[in-house]
Amino acid sequence: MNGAIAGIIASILISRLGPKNKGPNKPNVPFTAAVWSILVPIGLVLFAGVLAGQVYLIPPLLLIIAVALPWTTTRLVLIPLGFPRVAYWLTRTAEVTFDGDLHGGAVLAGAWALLRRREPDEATAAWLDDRLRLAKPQTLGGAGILATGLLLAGRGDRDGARAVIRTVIDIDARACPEAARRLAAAWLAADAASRGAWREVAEIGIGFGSGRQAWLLSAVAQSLLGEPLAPGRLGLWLRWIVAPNRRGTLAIVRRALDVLDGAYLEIESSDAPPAGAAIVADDAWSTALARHAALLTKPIASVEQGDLLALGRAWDAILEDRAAERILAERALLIGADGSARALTRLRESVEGDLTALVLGRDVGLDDRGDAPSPTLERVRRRVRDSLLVGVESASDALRRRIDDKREIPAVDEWREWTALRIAYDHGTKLAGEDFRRLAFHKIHPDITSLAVWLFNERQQRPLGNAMFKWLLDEATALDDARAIALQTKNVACGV
Amino acid sequence: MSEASPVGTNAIDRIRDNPFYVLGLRPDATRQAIERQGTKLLGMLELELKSATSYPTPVGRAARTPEKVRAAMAELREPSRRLEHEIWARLEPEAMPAAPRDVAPIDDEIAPRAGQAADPWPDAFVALGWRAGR
Repeated sequence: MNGAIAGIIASILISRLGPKNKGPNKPNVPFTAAVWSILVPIGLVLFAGVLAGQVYLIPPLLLIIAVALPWTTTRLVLIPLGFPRVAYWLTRTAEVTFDGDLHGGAVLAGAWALLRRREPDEATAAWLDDRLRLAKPQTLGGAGILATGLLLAGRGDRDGARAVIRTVIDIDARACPEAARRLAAAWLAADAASRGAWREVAEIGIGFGSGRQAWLLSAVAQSLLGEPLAPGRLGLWLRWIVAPNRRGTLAIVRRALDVLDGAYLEIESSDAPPAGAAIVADDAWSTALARHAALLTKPIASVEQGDLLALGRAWDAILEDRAAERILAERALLIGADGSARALTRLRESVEGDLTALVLGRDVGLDDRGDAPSPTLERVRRRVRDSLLVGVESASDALRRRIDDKREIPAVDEWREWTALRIAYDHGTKLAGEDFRRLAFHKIHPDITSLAVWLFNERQQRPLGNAMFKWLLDEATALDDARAIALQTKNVACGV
Repeated sequence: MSEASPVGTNAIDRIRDNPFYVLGLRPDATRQAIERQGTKLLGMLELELKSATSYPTPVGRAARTPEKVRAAMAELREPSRRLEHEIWARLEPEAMPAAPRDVAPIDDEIAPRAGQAADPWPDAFVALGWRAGR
């Protein structure tokens, strides 16, 4: 017993006084080295004593095992039991697993253990939040970002958690421990599976490198989607055996196996409404109106770009045709209206307003690279673009003002602000196309560059700055912006 | 009635509350026919006759109220407004296949289907060890 205590004290002293490793490629594991060189031999002696019947040696032996294998102990014992603070402190010693972001890894362990509690515990969540926002700035890495996402998930903000956790892969591998990367993939796969976004699940877990859990779920997703290259029965069972949480995943694996067995083959029902029989119309007006009404009442998930294109062209046949104006003018004369121009203008505004709301509300992208553009849809796309640009520009302006005023916020909040801006940018690009992308990039490039330089040079947040430089470089390359490419290439080369 | 300004109002409301559909008339109805039909419907609603309490539209059936009928009559008395409503009422109320019963406005989520292979897996977080089971 005394030997064990002496070993612990010695290892702590060594970890405190030992040389700090600053090299990016060298493992920074002074505590672990001390534990394995001092405590583990002591543990072997204690183990021999336990085998000889000295059961009072079991507690110190367990303590040594916990300190020697901190992440394994945390993951198998502390997280399932829901001990966030103990999980945090023990993971502070998991230098091998979370090399590059040890502090973030500890908060991650605590946040995960907190999620496993049946009752919410806001005090502990706030305590963990504070660990991420310490007065003495800590460099935020991939594990810390994942921890932020898990804390958001614990507070019920699944969308916010998803947005943050998706950015873990943006962090350079030197500041993002492999464990954090795999856990982020596993959480994202679980989240997508719970939403039924199986296509997403299939993509997240491609390759064993994404982690065993995400790898299994990817195979399940491919089977559920009936993809021709989905792993067969043997492949599924193999992944299930390799992956953790076998009891929990058995049900979904069985569902995937049922699909492979053909249990879900669709049988045509006579009750089902005939597909493609939606529009009954005998002239351009009725066609456009019928398509318009049909699209407005279509469920969100089933609205596709093709539907919008068909509707846009149906309205083109009226709004771009002088005959429509003539018909309305004749009718206006007959009923004593002032003129048809106002009615036609309001019709155009209504149609474009409805389509804009559809695009924004149902997240359907308008491709501006199509071969035969619809003038109506082109106007809608411009409306969508302008509406989304306002959001991105005002967020970017607010960021710019804060940088100019040197108003710092904790690194984790800087990252969340950047994530929100990037989501708005990606969303706009998806809905309004390349035109939006070019205009928005022109606006946010200098602002994000300033933020990244500030984080990189002055605030010890080199991984975050580097991730932003990389994103800016990717965008500049996609948009063929030579000056931005030159600048960001230089910035990325500064490393982490 | 939300028909005062078609621009910016809910798109489904614009079709559902179109005065011609509310009155059960086609766009070529005369002014006399509109007044006659409006008065008749108000009388029927006064007597709470079931046949008058709803009407078909291309986006499904809608409830008819005396306020809606009066507003529809007022809208159609103004020729310029009538011309705008005529455009949207060109579609026969029954020209569309019956809209889903739970036709939802733009923001509503689709209801999950039962028994499909690719249905969501709501227990994923618990099964995969991210949350405690109930």
